[in-house]
Parts: sequence; structure tokens; C-alpha cells
Amino acid sequence: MTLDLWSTVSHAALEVVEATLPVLALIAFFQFVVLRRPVNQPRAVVTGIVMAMFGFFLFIVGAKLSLIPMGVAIGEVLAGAPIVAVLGFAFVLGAAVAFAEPAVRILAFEVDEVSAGSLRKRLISSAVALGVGIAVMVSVLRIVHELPLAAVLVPGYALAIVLTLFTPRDMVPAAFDAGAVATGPVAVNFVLPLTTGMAIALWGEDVGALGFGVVGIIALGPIITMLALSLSLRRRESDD
Amino acid sequence: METALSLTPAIVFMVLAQVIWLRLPWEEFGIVLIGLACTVFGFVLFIQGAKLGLLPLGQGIGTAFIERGAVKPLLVFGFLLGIVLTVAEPDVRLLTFQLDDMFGDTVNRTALIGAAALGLGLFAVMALLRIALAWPIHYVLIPGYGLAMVLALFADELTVTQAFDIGAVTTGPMTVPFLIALGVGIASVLGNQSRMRASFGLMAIGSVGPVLIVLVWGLLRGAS
Repeated sequence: MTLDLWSTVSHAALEVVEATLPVLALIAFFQFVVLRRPVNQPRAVVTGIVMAMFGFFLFIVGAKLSLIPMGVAIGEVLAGAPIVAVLGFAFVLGAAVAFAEPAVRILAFEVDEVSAGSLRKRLISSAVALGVGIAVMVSVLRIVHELPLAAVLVPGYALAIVLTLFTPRDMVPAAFDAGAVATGPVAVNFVLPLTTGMAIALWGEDVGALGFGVVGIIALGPIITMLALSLSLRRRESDD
Repeated sequence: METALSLTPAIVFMVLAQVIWLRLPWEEFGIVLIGLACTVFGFVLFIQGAKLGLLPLGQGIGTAFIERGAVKPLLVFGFLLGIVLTVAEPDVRLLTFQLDDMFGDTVNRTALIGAAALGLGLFAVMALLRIALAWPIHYVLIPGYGLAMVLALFADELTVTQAFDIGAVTTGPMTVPFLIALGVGIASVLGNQSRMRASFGLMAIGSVGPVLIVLVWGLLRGAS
């Protein structure tokens, strides 16, 4: 791990300016030019913007110094481990990432409310965790067998669409949201470097896209498990 | 503070890996630990700052349009907001950084972010329209993902990978609160749906847009 700290820091600073200027410009334009009104609590707004920009900067620098290189290093170690152990690790990692994600818990809470308690929070979080765990396992298998991403995603989304046709209408939006919710910062900055590190250690630098795609697969897993869960519950209800 | 919890599995696995397998020298692992502290603190600061500074402004503008019944300006605002929020999404930055790091010039980072941003902007409008017109979500999701599947069969591997990875991360901590605030605002004015039901599905629709636009962009580039 040889790092040019200064170049990481200066790149991150530039990056933050580049990323936040358009939002600030758009909001300022609508506020002052279109609506022509002053800002409520300008001090809070300015403090918030400065906090967000500085936090953004620290987050980017931090991820490049810690999560990303460590993910790659762990992936390289995993490349030499027996496949069963790697699959077990992948499942546990994926499930842990989903359980720890606050957005998953918020979704679980909301679905619990909408379904009037027929889908318990714990059950929903578990379904999402199962989906993410399987997704990371599938990503590992894809790398080991050198499969194109479409070979996983096309049948996966076909299954999701078929399940959608039979799932109670109320549950469909939440099931599809579960996919977007599970792909947080850990998926991008830890799981993804881990799979790219593993792919490179197994197949060399020229495997290209093989290590990527895990984020897309993670987004699909919970959709399928959530749809399957709501479908199985409906079955049980109609059996009663 | 809750937001930092999401990082715990990564931290636990990193420390375990260091102790069991990696055994990096202390000066190297020290940098990792400092980086980790920056990540956690930066993430919390970013979320809190956006909540304090940006979200109320965005919500205020949205509400002003909704109160005046100005649906068209609201949709224009939603479209532009979708674009700039994608550009500002930290995970989009870090994903494209990793792609850039691996593929160098084969991946045009600015164009990729631009395509994803356009996709999110277009589909943010679609999501808001869906709420306003009370369409079932199937009308958007099934054709959206159906088309994405077909395009994925014809696009090259790198394009497919970029499209689905970036589609999954555009709906992150920056974009989602704004989209939900606008969606709930529209639903409450029109009064035809419950708050919660209106906010459901926004992220799902938001993810499809970038996937489709990046796939189309990749196919067009391949064809030319």
C-alpha cells in the first residue's frame, strides 16, 4: 500500500467542489431567481452546507485510505481460500451489511405499518438480509466461473417480473425499494473492492469487469426474496 | 448517529482480517484506522449537514410550487434536482473512482456520471407523475426492468456492469430524502394516496432510469 496522501487529499477536495456546486447553484437559482424569497434561518443553512461538504471530503478521503484498500486486500486473501469457505464468508458479509443498514430498518418499519402487522419487521429485515447474502454469494460464483453479468441479471429480473405479477399489489413498491435500500456505502466501498480484489487475484489484471457488478446483483437479491416472502404469506392466508 | 452503524460490518471484518490473515505492519494499519475514523465521522457529518442545510431548502422550494398548484415548474425542479443530486451522491463518486482506477481511459467518468444523472432526473419526473396520476407502480417497473433486460443482452460486458452498478447507487443518502420529500408533498396535496404509500417505490423507479440511460449510451457508443 503505497499512497500519495497529498494527491488523495487534493483530489478529494476538488471532487467535493465539483460534486456540490451544481446542487448549490440549482437551489440558489430556484430560491432567489424563480421564487425570489430570502432563506429561512440562513445560519443553520450555511452551517449545514459547510458540514455536509467537509463530511463529504472526509468520507471520500477515509474510504480511499481504509475501506477500499482493505476490501481489496481481503479479497486477495479470499482468492486463495477454499470455495466453500469463501461462499460462507460472502453470505455472512452480505447478511451483516443488510442488517446493519439503517435504511433497511426504516423500510422494514414502514412495510410493517402498511401491511397492518401481517409482515413483521424482523421478518422483512431477514428477507432483505437473505437476499443480500445470496447476492454476494452469487457474485463470488460469477467470478469463479467467469460468467457475464447478464447471465445473472437477466434471469434474475425475469424471475422478479414473474413474481411481481402474482404478488399482492401493495407489496410490490416496497419489494423493489428493498433493492435500492440495501446498496449503501458498505456495498460500494467494501464489498465491491473485495470482489474486484478477488477477481484480480484469481484471474489477473485483465479480467476487467468481472469483479464489478456485485452492487447491481446486491440490488436484485432483496427484490426477489421480498417478493417471494409476500407471495408465500398470501398463499398461507388463502389456505386458512 | 444511526447512519454510522451501517459501517459496522465492514469495520468488524476489517479488524478480524487484520488480526487473522493480513497482519499489516502497524504503520500501515494505523493509516487504515485513521482513514476509518475519517470515513465514519465524515459520513455522519455529511448526512447531518445535508439534513440541516440542503433538505429544508429543497423541501421549501417544492412546497412553494405545490401550494401554488404549479405542477409543471415542480416537475422541472424535480428533473433538475435529480440530475444535480446524482452528481453530488458520494457513492456515485466512489464507484466511478473505482471504475476509473481499474479501467483508466476506457471509462469516461464524467460521461458516465452525466448519463446516470440524466437517467435519475427523467425517472424522478416519472416517479412524481406516477404519484400525481395514481398509476400502479407496475406500469413503470415492469416495462423499465423488462427493457433493461433486453438491452443488457445486446450491450457489452463493461456497459452492463457500469449500468447496473451505478443504477443501484444513484439512490443513496443524498437523493432519497429529497425524492421522498417531493413525493410525499405531491401526494398530500392531491390527497389521493396515503403518505407512506406515495413514498414507496420512489427509489425503485429512481434506480431504473440510470440503468436504462447508461445501457442506451453504451449501445449508441458501441454502434458508432
